[in-house]
Amino acid sequence: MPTAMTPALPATTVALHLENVTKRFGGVTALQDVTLTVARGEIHGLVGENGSGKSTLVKIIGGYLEPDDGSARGWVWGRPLSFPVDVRHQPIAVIHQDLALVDNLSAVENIGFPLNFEQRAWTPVHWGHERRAAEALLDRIGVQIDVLAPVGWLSPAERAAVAVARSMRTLDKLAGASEERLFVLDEPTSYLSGAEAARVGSIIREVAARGASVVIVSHHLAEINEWCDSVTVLRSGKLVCRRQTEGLTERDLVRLMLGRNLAEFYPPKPKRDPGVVALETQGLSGRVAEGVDLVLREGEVVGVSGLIGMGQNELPYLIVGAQRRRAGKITGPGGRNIRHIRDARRQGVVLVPGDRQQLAFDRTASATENVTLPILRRFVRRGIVRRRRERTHMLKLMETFTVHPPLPDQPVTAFSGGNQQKLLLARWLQTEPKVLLLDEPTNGVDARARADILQFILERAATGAAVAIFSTDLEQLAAVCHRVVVLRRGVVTAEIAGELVTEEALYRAVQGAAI
Amino acid sequence: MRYVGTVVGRLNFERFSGFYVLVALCVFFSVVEPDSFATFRNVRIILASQAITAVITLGLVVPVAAGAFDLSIAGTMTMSIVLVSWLQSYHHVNPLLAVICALLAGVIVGAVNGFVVVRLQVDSFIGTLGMSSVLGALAYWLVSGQPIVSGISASLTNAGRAQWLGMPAPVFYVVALAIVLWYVLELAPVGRVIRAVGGNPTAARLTGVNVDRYMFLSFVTSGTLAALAGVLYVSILGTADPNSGLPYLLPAFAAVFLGSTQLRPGRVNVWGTLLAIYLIAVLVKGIELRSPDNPWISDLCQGVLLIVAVAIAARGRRRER
Repeated sequence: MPTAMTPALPATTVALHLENVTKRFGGVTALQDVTLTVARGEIHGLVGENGSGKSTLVKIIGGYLEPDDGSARGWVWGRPLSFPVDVRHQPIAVIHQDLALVDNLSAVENIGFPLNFEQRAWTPVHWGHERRAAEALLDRIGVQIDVLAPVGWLSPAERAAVAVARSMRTLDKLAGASEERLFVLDEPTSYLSGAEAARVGSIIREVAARGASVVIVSHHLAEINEWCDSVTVLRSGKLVCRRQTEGLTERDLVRLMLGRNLAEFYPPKPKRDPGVVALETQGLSGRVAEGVDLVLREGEVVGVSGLIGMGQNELPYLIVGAQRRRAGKITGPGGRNIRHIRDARRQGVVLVPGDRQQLAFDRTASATENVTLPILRRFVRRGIVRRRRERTHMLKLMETFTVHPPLPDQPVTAFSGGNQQKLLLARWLQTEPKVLLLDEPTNGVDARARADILQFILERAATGAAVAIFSTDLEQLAAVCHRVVVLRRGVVTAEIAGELVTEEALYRAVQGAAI
Repeated sequence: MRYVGTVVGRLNFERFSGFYVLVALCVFFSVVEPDSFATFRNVRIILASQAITAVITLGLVVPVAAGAFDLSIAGTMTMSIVLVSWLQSYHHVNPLLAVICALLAGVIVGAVNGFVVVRLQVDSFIGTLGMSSVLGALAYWLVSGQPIVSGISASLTNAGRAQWLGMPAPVFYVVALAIVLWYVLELAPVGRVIRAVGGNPTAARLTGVNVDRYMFLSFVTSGTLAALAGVLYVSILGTADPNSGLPYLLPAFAAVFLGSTQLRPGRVNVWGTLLAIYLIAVLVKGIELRSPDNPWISDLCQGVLLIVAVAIAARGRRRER
């Protein structure tokens, strides 16, 4: 047994130590000889591109996967850890992005039921006691909420707090009064606004301040830099480095993650050639948007940004008429008004939605069936959809849009996030749109696919389409947009154009707008 | 051994399993019941009796492909049965006119269902469940709950009882209807759009598909074909009863879902549905002949097969993820 030969690690300094972790899936090596060390009371960041192996590592910590070939070793608070990790008996709590809360139950119920309210099965629950317990747990991380309201009504950060409190209760039972425990948060701030993310940050600091350790897996490098004491960087399943975050810039992190500079991942901005007005909105108002006037010109790439929930992600749906408008008039490239989505289609205004699963794809259909839907007529001869023509077209499209492997008959869900986004883009670019509206076009897409996707978008702009990118990804907007419009609570508060479009300027505009 | 794999691959057990089971059942019942099952007369009975089921089931295929349930089909069929008979028997209406009235009633029921689901945003399951109760009440009220056994025109029953090329005429009606629906759902672009609506209505809407229109039309189709099934029922049996449609509901659903596991697994399809109808029919008929004193057998089989079919379909979906 290797554990006999290795010295016990001092529990006072190291919360989790894993070494020689290797994991292969078929011929693909997801992790190779990876080491992870988390000190006591430390907030540790785990970063890497999509496919770098960080999810696999989290799954190993959470006991969902087992490392290969038995050379892996681990310790939790100085005690040896066996694989697969039995999280029910270890002071480890893994909290996934979706939090696994039951939305229509209250915080009290969500916190209580994993332990069956610490009751015997058929005895009545002491709701008063449960309520006080839930409030006490939330108080420990500095959160005051209505613990009896359905958690679906809470803000994202409050929901995260409930998930943390739920794990704390489970760990309290395991570890007792000792704070020797480890929380692993997988993408805790995806889809959160700046203010909400900051609240999650303060919750995490509360947890760590009590002596527990926290591992954060995140794409938001700014948060990693701000919140974490140290960071582990993975690339292609290998450990790049472990180091303190002090003195580390976001740019350094990106270079460590990608192994090169970020600039190489953005295509060069095409020269601006301001054409005629392709689309114009006047006084557009929706749920958040309020009197937005937006002008899109041929050949121009316009970014629309703001903090999350400031209206920028509602706008494209309002423009094409997929969401009810309170007020406003939209004139399309044909000079005619756009009232509903089929008006938009007829005038060559297309929307590439952000949520692929909910808004873009039919999960039961093949890639081809999904992609060719808007242009199905092209393949019809004598009332019959000619599948061979359709397939030929699709194969060509997959080559153009660098979708690998080119398997047109596979279900669309079999493709990776990046490939799905390329397929979605292909679906709309094949219609040769005059106006291209993109809602968060690179969400959940790795850096390489992102570069391809932006390249396709810019190429389309270069051939005369008006492009608008509705996004909170400032770095990306700065890299590709000629002009960026910033919204605050649905109202346009800033417009930055030309040379002034830099990430710093956008950041100031977006944050400034929030004050 | 090498060839066994190839042969198994060719036979494609997954897609055609229903067909092999059908053949196996036929062989089995022919061996154990050579005098009653393995007769040309029995084949004719099975084919003809299932024609009614086939018409109502094929109608159901359309809304299910569009992602909606139509539980009112049996009610619509009952109403059509009662209406077409009542018009002839009580009011001596020309049979052709009576048939047209019944079909029109089916169109109207479908349109109301479509309105309830599309405009009033009532879940299709609930909306059509309510509608089926309304239709049952209407049918009962029309004839005061009394069966109609006389006064139905011979020209109508002739159309149902005719034999062409030694086969009951309804078999040909079913084949013709299946070909039309197959064209619409599998070959024509409209079928692709209906499936897109069924697969993800929000995505289809954002693609510019008029989801509401397709949803509405799919209910009109199922309503019309349910009424047609009712007309066929009267033309074959020559009687009407305000309860006569109900036994067709479960077999229709069982066949659609079992059919979705066949030929093109994972999607509702016309030929798979027909295969499922006859699979269920042969099974039920064979067991009935083996034990003629147990009339509950057919309900039992259909109930079990519905659950099994949906379970198989769910398993296929899980594997895709």
